[in-house]
Amino acid sequence: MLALVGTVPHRDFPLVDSEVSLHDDEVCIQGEQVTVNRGTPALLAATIKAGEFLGQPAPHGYLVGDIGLGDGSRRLYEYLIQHLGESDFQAITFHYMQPDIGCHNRVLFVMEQMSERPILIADAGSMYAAKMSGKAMAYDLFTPDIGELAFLADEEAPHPFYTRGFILHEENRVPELIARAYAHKNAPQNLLVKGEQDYVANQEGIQATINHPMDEAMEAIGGTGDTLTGIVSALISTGMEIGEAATIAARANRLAGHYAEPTAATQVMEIVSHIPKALEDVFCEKNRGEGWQKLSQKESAASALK
Amino acid sequence: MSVLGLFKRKQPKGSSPDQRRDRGILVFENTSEVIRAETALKKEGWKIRVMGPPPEVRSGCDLVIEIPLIEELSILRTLQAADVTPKDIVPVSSPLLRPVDLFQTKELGRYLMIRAANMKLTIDKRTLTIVNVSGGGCPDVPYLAQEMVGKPLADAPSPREIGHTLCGYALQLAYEEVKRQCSP
Amino acid sequence: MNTTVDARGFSCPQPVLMTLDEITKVDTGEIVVLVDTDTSKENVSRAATSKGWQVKDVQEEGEGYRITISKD
Repeated sequence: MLALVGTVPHRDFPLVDSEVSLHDDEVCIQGEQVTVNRGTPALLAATIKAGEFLGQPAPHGYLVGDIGLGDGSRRLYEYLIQHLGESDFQAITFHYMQPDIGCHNRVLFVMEQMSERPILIADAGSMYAAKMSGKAMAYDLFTPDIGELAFLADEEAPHPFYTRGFILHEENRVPELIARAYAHKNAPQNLLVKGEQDYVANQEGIQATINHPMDEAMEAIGGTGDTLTGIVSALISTGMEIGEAATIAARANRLAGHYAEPTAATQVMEIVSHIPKALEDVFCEKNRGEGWQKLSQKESAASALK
Repeated sequence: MSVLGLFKRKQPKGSSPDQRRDRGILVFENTSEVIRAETALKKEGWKIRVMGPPPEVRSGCDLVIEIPLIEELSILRTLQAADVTPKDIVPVSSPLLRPVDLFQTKELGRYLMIRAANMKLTIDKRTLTIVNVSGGGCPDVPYLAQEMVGKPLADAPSPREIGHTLCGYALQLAYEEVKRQCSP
Repeated sequence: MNTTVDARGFSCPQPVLMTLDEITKVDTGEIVVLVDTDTSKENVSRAATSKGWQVKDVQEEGEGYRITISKD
């Protein structure tokens, strides 16, 4: 079971803790609705669509309204500190939250005390908070874009806004940026870097590069990073090994975008609707290429644990 | 109570020999107050800089305003008139972080995308309508996108007016650069 | 037309994918899916339902389950 944590851009949206569903272009949770658009709603929609294809149960959402004042985020942090310890999620994805070092560390402490520690995925403000706190290594996966990778690589920067000028977010520097992030312990066990090319990496370096199909407009479309994080979260929640999940997610996200025939004005819901077909096609490719790989029960159980 | 009475000047811990005793930083409750203070001070012609806070006052998404300490009194009067009060003034004791000042411009057919720090703003060059906002991770980003996308550049609220975080501030920089590039 | 998908010994999400693969091939009819975990049983049932198939029967078989799905 997967939990998703984040904020929605409506000040009065209450703190909710429940199963999430998708109806047309609205995410529904505990009697509340929010239109799918960039941010955590896009993450939720993508996770649901991917999960439907994979036969996964609906994800669980911890959401609150916050338009940037941080008040909602702080309430949600407190709620998680009080309640997350009782849960038994296999994986938790932390998303748009106001970065707050103190609150972040208290939530992380709660999770580290759990008898079965969930797989921890972070993106957006939650990823900034993890790096700011010096706790990136406690996570299993981050999904930064190249600018955010430069931020992870800059050991002095507390926020991407302050990435020093000489640490350039250029495509040909990605291996160097990844190495630097790991050298300063500012990267998690796995990285899925999204950009003109997508990279799957770990401490040992780049494990996979995904660059097809290439639609330039995707960079301009708000929410395409959120859909990538949603797809990889859904895949990881099936027990799939993280590196493999990241590779499949990168390809599926590109395909879904490609099927939407994007321009720079395309909105993210158009891409979300193509996720099931994109995943189906990626798995068909995989099937043709590799054949089905049989794992013993012991191996599959071991791969689901960290 | 006088404005001065609200603040105690903190002695920096373990001051370094090259401490810039003539500079101070105004620390605010949140980033949106920093943005309001910056607007008020620049309007009055003060030469101030928005910077990153030193580690000892950092807690999350932070901006501070660097000021010449000698002008502290006058600056505080300007802020008082603008109804925005810093919660602290501290002397600069360590190098402050400089915001990213690099922009990246990309032409995407009829669209123009400008990147500043981690934020990207895209407009339709023909209609000058904002068509997309991407990047960032702070909660005001989806809110800013909601308020700005679909609106003409001239009519959309600026991130400075309605944003609250560093991501919002970065979007403001992208927005200003778009306006600069698209102005006749 | 009756086909069998033996997904025993395969880890998530393979049982679902193998089932969906077969659904795409046959389009209608009856498919028997053999799985060996509760999770796979639930995931396969959900995936089949999402494709408009009906879960006709689920029986314990050996250490796993025999799931029969159908579509007219």
